[in-house]
Amino acid sequence: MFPLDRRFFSHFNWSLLGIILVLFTVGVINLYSASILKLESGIKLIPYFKKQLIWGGIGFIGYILFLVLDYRKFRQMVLPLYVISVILLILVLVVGKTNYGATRWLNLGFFTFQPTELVKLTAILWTANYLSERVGPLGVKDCIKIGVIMGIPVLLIVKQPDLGSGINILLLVGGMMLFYGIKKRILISIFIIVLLFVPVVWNHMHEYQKDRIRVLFNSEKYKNNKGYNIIQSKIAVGSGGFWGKGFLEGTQSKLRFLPEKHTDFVFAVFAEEWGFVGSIFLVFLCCLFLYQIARVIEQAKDSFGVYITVGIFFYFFWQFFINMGMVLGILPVVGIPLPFLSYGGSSLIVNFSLLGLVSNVSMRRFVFKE
Amino acid sequence: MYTKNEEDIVSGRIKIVYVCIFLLFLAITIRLWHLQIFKGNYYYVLSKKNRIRFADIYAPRGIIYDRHLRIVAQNLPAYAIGIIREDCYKESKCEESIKKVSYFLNRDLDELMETFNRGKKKGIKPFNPIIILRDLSFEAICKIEVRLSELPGVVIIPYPTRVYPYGEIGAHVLGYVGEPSEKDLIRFPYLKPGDIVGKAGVERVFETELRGIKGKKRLEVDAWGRTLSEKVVKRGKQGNSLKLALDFDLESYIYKRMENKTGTCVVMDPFSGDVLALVSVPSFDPTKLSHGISKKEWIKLVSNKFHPLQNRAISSAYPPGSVFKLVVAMLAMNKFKDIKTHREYCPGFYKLGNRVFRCWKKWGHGWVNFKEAIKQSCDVYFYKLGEGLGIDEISQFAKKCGLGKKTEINLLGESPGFIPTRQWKLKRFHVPWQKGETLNVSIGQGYVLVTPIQIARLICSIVNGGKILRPKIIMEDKTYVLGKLPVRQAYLNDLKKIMIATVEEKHGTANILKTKGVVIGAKTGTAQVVSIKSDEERKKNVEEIPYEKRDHAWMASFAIKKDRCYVVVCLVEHGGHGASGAGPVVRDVIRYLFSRRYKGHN
Repeated sequence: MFPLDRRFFSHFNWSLLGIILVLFTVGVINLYSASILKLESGIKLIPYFKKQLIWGGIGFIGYILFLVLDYRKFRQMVLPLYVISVILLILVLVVGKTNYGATRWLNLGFFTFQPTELVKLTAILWTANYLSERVGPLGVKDCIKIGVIMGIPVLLIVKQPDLGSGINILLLVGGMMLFYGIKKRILISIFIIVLLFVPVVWNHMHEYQKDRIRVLFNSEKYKNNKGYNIIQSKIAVGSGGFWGKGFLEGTQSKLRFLPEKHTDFVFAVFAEEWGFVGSIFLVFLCCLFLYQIARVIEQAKDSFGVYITVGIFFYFFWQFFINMGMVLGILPVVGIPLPFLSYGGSSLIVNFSLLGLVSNVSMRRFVFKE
Repeated sequence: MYTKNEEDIVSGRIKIVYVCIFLLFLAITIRLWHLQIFKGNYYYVLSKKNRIRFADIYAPRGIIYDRHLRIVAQNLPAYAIGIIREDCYKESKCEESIKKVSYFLNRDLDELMETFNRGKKKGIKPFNPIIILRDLSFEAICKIEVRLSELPGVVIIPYPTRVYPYGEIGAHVLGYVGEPSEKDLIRFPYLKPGDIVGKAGVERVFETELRGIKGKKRLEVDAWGRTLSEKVVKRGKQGNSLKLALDFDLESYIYKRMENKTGTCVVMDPFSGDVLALVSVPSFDPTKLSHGISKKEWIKLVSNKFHPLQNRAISSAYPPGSVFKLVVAMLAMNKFKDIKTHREYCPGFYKLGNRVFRCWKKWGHGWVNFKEAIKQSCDVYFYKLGEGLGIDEISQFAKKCGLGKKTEINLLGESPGFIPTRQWKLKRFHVPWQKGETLNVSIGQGYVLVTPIQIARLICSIVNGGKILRPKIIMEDKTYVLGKLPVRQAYLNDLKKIMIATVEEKHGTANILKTKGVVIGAKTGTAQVVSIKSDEERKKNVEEIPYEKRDHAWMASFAIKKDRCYVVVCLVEHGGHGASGAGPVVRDVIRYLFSRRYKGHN
């Protein structure tokens, strides 16, 4: 049936693709600036932006792939996907490759693979499938079932440790459940249970994680050690002022004061150089991007498609929110990248693929018209 | 499609999504406004502080010259060898380089490695050099320089050092420099640790003049502290140079003449107050001291029993011995109109109560008049004079002559000496003054203490007509007259004549100085170290008495030829009698001063 039907083109969501490409372009330009280091001998260019372009190209293939396959076919693949995901996560813990103290990668010989990225897709598809088969608001049983099934991979991910991805999956599933509808008393009881668990969680947290939260409330006190990242990030953003220091003129990033400037703190590089004006524009762009996904939710004609898109919406929403909040010093430091702006191959491929899925849902809405 | 139980469902469905987008935009925008607009300036200043540092530029210290513009303290480059770890691609390469350096320069490898590892532990950044060797000669540096290509990580770092080309000569006047102590840092607020500051002598006294004004440079640094670029924002200024009153030819001559003795010699111009030479032996090498010596060497220097760091000319107070008779004589001329004709009989001792006070000449001088008493230094004559004058008169007069207080010479650590008084004795020992003590004071023994510079100045005053001058270390046009001897000009002339007779005439104690063509006047002195000697010890030759118990030898003199006039005072510790211990030194110095070898002091 593909690509013969002309209606695929007429129903294709061009504005979503357009805004993705704009975001990606802004990201690459900003990465060019973040790639520059100033040394005694002059300027050193670390080719993050070039690699990002290559990853973008590969990501786009993923986009096409997830666009072409009919998304409804994923319904049958939900269970095998889930099983494979969990097996891979266990494999990672047993034979995974360790980088920077975290065991997240599987060595497949020709390249290394991060099962966490697959889990994100699995979580969205499984929850979307589950919710689309349900009738009526979620009860206690449903919540426990979702909680247990999603809890297993999330726990395995947190154990790697990759707290950022774990939180992201938990929050996007929560967003989907909230969107579907939960009984009021259950929502309230979940809220109370979470509150009760705060001290328990606090006690089980690593010291460095506790510090990140302490730093949030009193960053000046930890200026030279634990609070260094967040202080330098705030200085970078704040010193940008209204108009910014200008493209390639950021001193915080060029002189290495800003840590992780090409990955988690890439937004600070942008805010320093483009100022309040540029940052507002970027935030607006992100919101426009989210709005385009929201439009697809409204347009989608089947509930599986709706919940897939809702899941993907929250997947991006939480990344924007947590990453920017962290860079601006209102949320604790946690390893969540800024979609399309942070450097990173696997996250870029997953982002593009998920958006392929969104476009897929959007494009195939005419299928239900007859 | 959706089955709803409206009451039980919390969400507004799609509205949730739009609310989320709106809240995201709102929250991030408000925070951006807060950081970039509201606190923008604050963070801008912080970002600038992050990357901009200011550093000092070294300002050279002023040069010190002697009165003939010979350089006596200057700045020369010294060389250090450092290792920049970043320039060796592996740590083992650094160690290989160090091994080679130790081989080429024949240094102990373990010591170098220890210094290197200490630097690493101290947290010296990999792009900054760890200094492993300092104070290297130019030759040593050349050896390394030609092999630099095979020594990865090795850098040669020149740095300024203070060098005193005359070495141990004049060291006590020049002093030395070093890193500031905590006290220095408080005293001179412009100093920073690692700077160089005057520690002693002229270097210390004229610190503020000699010190230059440091320049300033602006550095752009990265997060690791590496300097990326620098710009001079303020140029430094070299410190003022200084011209000493000393003549280093003369200083060298005297130092070499006294090298294996312990003592001091001062040469002054009696009219200007210029100190032409100020020698204290043994001495030390200020260059070594300025470059930082090891603790072991320092302890060795400080615990040396001859105290080489002590400036004996100004910091050591000695009993003046018979030199003090000049003071008593002047007082006597003031008090007794007929003193010149006054005679006394010296049987070799004087009995006061049941105590016997001896004259240095055991068998006595016989009948002596005033002139002969000074010339032959008759103790008995002066016992009687002193007894007649009384301690109150003597101490009051001695103080008026500038004794018992500092001469205000521009050097640190000057001792005021000491002139005892009746009140002091009572306060100090709760015992009234004894008559016998007055006799002791009359011949410069007992409690009286003077510094050689005080004696030199006293002779200056006698020669120049009574002006008490401030001894000048630095060339200045101004002559500082601090007071006047309370003695008539005529009396001073008489005393001068008697001093000349002491050299020229038969039986004079300073005959040894006699030099053809030069008018010389002098007074000898023997300062007892052990106060009471047994008769047996008196009989012995100087050589037979143990060194520490031998007397200090004084010779205070002036020498005049045509328009040139010098005062030469010498003290040789444990040198025995004045004439034999210090006399030959003074004689040679005077002969040198009027020889063709000496260019003259002007």
